[in-house]
Amino acid sequence: MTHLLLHWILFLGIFHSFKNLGFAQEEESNKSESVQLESQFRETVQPVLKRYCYRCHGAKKMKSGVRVDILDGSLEDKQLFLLKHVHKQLVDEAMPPEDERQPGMEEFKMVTEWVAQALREGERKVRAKDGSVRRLTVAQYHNTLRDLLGVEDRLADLLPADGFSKEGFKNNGDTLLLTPQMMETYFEIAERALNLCLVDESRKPRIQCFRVELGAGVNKNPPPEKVVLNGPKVLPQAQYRVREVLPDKPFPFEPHAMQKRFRFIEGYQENATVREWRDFEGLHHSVFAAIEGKHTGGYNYGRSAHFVPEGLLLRPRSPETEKGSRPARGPSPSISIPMRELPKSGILQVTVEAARYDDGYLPDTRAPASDGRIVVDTAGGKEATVELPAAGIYQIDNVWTGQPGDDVVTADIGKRTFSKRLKPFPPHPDPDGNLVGPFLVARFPGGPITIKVGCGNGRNLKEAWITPVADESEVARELASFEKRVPHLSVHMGLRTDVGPRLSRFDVPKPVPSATVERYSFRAPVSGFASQDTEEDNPNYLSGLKEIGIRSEPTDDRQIPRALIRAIEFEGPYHETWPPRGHADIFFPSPRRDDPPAYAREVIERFATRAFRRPPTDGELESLLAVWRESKEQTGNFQRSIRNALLVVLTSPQFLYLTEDSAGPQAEPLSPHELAAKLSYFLWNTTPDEKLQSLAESGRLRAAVPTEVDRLVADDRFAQFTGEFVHQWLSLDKFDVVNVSWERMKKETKRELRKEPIHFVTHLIRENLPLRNLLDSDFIVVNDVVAGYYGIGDRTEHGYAFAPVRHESETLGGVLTQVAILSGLTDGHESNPVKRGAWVARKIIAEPPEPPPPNVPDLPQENREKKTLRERLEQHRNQDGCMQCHEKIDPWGLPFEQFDGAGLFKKGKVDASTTLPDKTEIVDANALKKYLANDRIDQVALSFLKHLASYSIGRSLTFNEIEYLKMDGRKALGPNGYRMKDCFRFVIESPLFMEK
Amino acid sequence: MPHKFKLDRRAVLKGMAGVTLPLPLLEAMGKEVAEETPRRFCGLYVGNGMSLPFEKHGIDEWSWFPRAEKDGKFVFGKSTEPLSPYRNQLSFLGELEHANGTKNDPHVCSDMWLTGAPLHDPKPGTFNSVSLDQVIARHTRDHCRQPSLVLSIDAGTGYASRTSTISYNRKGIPIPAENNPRVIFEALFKGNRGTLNSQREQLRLRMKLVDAVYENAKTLDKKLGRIDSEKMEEYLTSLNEFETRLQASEKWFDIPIKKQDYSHLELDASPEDDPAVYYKTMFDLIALAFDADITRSITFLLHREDGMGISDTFPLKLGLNHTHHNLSHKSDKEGMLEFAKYDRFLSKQLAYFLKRMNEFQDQSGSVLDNTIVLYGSGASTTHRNVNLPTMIAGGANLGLKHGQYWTGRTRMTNMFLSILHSMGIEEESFGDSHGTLGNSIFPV
Repeated sequence: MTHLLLHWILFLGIFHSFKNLGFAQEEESNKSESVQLESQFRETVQPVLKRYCYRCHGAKKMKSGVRVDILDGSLEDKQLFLLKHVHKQLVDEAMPPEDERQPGMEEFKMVTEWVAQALREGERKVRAKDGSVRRLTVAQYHNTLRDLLGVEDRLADLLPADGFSKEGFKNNGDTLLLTPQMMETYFEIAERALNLCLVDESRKPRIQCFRVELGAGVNKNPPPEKVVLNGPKVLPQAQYRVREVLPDKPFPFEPHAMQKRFRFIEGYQENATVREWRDFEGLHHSVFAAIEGKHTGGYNYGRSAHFVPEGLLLRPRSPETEKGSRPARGPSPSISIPMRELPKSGILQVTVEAARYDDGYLPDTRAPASDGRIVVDTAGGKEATVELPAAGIYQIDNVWTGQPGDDVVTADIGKRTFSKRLKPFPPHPDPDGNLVGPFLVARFPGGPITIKVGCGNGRNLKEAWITPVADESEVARELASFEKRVPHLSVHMGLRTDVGPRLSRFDVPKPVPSATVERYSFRAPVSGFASQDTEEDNPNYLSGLKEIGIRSEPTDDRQIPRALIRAIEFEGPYHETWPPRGHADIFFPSPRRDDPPAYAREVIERFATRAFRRPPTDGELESLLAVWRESKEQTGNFQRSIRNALLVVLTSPQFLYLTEDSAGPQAEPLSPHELAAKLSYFLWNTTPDEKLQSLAESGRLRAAVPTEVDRLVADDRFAQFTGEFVHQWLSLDKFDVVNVSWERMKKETKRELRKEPIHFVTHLIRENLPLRNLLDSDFIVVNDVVAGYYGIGDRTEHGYAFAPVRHESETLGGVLTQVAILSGLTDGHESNPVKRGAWVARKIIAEPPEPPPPNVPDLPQENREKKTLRERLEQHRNQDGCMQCHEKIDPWGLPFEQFDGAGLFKKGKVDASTTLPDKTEIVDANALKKYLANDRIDQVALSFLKHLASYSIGRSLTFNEIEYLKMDGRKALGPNGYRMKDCFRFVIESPLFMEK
Repeated sequence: MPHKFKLDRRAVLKGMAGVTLPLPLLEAMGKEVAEETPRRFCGLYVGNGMSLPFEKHGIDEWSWFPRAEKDGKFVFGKSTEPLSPYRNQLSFLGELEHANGTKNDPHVCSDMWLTGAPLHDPKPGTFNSVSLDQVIARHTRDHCRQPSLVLSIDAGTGYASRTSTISYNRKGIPIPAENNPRVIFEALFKGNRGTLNSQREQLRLRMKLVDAVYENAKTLDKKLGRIDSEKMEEYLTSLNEFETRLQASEKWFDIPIKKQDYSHLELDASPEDDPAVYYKTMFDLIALAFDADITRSITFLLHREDGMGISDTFPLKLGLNHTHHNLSHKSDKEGMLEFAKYDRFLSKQLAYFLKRMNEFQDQSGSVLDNTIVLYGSGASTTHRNVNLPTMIAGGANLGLKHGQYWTGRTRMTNMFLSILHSMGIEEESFGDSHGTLGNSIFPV
């Protein structure tokens, strides 16, 4: 009987679709249709629902969170979403459940037919298109101000954070509010941004620039007095030299002479305060050089910092966090440049002159005996010359007759210098009663070479063994991969306090691949760093000290060649051009520059066009010019009066809101300028660039959309989209706040893990890969830190750069098993199938569960010790009222029981089997991935398209729009496996995006 | 203003669900303000802690925190005895601490006393975070001439971990303090014409620009036909509210300052001379500023942290044998007693302040009853960042109940939240607070 029924329903469906083709377009008939449906509902449908459904799905019980009693026969979106659900239950014959009272065949048919008809009617119901107005998000506002004015400072941080929509997005027009407090802040920010942007063109910029050279004996004439500074060890003055230098600029400038005479009343001597005026003179009281952590543990395999005539050899720093919090003095070793003066605003540039040192690998075990071994007498630290038979790899081991004189062994071999700590792999006694310690594996040229070994006072030091190493040996392979690695330098800046620096990092660490010294520059706005602004002439020697910190950043605990640091140069404010780009974009060259009213009109019109993302109307331009005229009259100052007009532009709704104008409820195409803005705020999260604007201006944009989408996706600014969209879609904020114990996940590791899903999805989009890769891919996109965390660190040598890597693992691939997802959906300790299941249902398969009802009790605590979360959840699920919802949530999360709270594959056997709501049996996470990628790809595609479309237009989708994505999306994209960039093209070309 | 905003403001405010707006500006709206109880805050800070002698020394009566009880009431120790006339207007609070304090440099007490910020792990771009008085000032500024007043024994900001200010703005940047009585007096009560004029001019420019923005917004509003007028309304309402605030600020320029008696002021008092005279003058100025409703949020750092500044030498000036910082490190009986004797000197100064605050009257009671005075230190002894010596005085009209010695190990920031709520400032949290204090002193 059921089969018959099903056929009948399907037939009915076809018949109706057919009928729709003929009559659907007439609005009038639509209206009467819906009126008819509504009366039909009241008369015949509702009584049946009342009889068979209300008892469980009414206001009282709300089983599964579903209330059938709120159905009223209308075609509102909320009703349609519910009807869709009801329809599925009917077709699946899931409701009413078998043990409940069953409707008769006639009643069942009647209700099902009505629901099907209402849904079809609903699918045709198009939302009134009345344009849209939505405020720029804080991120969009920041990006836009930066692009318009060339101001890098994070001024927008003064605004409160934006709220999330129910889809999880921050750019939803309905949740983007504006308060009077924000209005005031917009004025404040606009004022500050313009002050930072506009300069006095008649003056040459002042630039502070100094250079600190490092190296053994680099300062031939050190100042006679000793520099006193508490905190990190100030270097002996012979090892650094500070000079004021002139930067190489393509424009005239005024070098800023730093203060060299000081008078202080307060300072420190031991633990007492000095309270008498003292005079100080010299640049060495203005800029210092110090090193933090000369002998520290962590990743330091040898002497952490070592001076050679060419510079300072620097090893990778210790972990950023120890026992969960950062060391008081920060990770070390760290070169520290304490300094007094900093520009008040603008960009700072720190340039490090550095090279990758021709370093050797420090082995754990001594070389096996070999006929070719050369024994060199090194007793007392004397220098010897040995003849190496051929160029190649040699291992050097040290021999003592008794306890070594120090924990660190050093060796000058030829022109190079090496060092190694003994503690991790102490020397072992050999049969002759000597202690032999593994030391170094490196490449050496053939021929004579000098060698000089040191260890403390040289006590008991006997000889060095030089053993040739075969190219195919394990240790030679280790040397080879060591040689592929490069040090990464980072620059920090901040405040100096008694107990250590408070520093934050300039952008990202830079790899230093070259063996010859090159310049590596780091830039960031001064406002981005911790600063304690003390007043001028503070009478304390130690007050107001800032600090630059330079470190070598390891990606994990593997050995990395040392960095040779020759010099550090500071330049601030850093200007690429003068006047700066932002200023020059506003006061652009024009033949009318000498005619103030004409030029003012040009300047204001041009700026308003960029800021409003369209040319201003005559009325708008007139009101802006009125501001200019009045200001000009009052102040007589051209630039100030322009600035006032621009301030009005930057606080106007035309700037603060993305607007799509509409003449009526019927669909209209976007204007070219609206389209340019919509594309750019979608794919770049910022204002359109000149190319988009000019395409819009000339009316060629609509036709150029396909190529423009390619260009926008390939552009660097696309990262501003992925950073927002992926983070919000996949709820990475959960990972941001999850607390995994520091032993398992260090802070700096977490910082990199967080980026993985973003880089992964970016890769899928840019390569236009089929969507199934999102679920199940044979590669992951990782850097060395992330790869190391997954335990496949030996596969990558990319440093901090993310790149695709074949994982050849059963447990990796796709987004579902990424740490940032799996760990974020736990409490950081225990795996949690509910959180993970709800996430899969909501984000991946477009079957969002109802939000949890109020007053859900906590899981019983008493059995916490004895039972797993899975078992405790089963208990919870079996409670009345919980099961209905959890049946649709937990099965999706159970396969991930194989992964712990830190997101890693658990050791030992874990029951990860599950029965999905559609009764499919799944054995583990891998099987779930395959099942989703093969059998449920349409559904996953719908989820992706829904999220993408909702984000792209900044609002929630209507029933009709979701149906469109489902049906037309499958038709257009399904055959090719829903390639990811094609999905973007589909959404953008759809009426959802293109019409207003 | 050339335009009139047609909507009834209250209706608009009510209609904007989910948006918290400050109360309408009473001053701008009319006379109601005069009948309103002004709510004020005054934070008074002493560096290096207060003397809490070890019990083995047998001088419990010299402990800053009371150690004796009589008839169910605490007994003032000798170092706080001068405050005993104000028993019913003050309370001691014991065992409060800054959770972030213990993780940090022990010298940062004055930096974080009013902020509670995690200075050991600052957010990029900041070091400290906003201080309590500045949060209050943001809410009280619409009712008085200037948002806040920041005073200190040493002018300026000092530097990290040795600050000479306890006030930090919204971005966590220290606000330089004033220490010269004459300069403070001139700025507050005389008003430098030049500065005033330029301030007024700036304000007028801003009002003009806001007006221009409004004009410009209207052109858009007209242009947008059927689209979402709610968003435009929200914008215009916000703009209007901002404009009203500017108008209110401008009005102050024309309202004459309340007539007061300045004859007792010793404006040449300097910390270089007699500390008692200096403190008296500073407290006189604070009381006068509150009385004239010049501001409703004032901080005063009485003593620098560590051995910094002139205040370190005050104990020597008073005939004691060590500097303040050195006294704070003493653990012998003699040293702890000397430290306590200095606390007594400070208590006398504070008692004078409370006396003055009681003499001035608002319409709804004494100025003290309308002011929450927070007096204390960021360390118990020797840079120990727990059991912070804390006293709350005044604020009876804001619902505070006094005469208590309350103890409870909890976060200082919870008390800050209680202060905010008592003042009608409904912030959800302050710093690392996780709730209000919920004790018998505060109404919330």
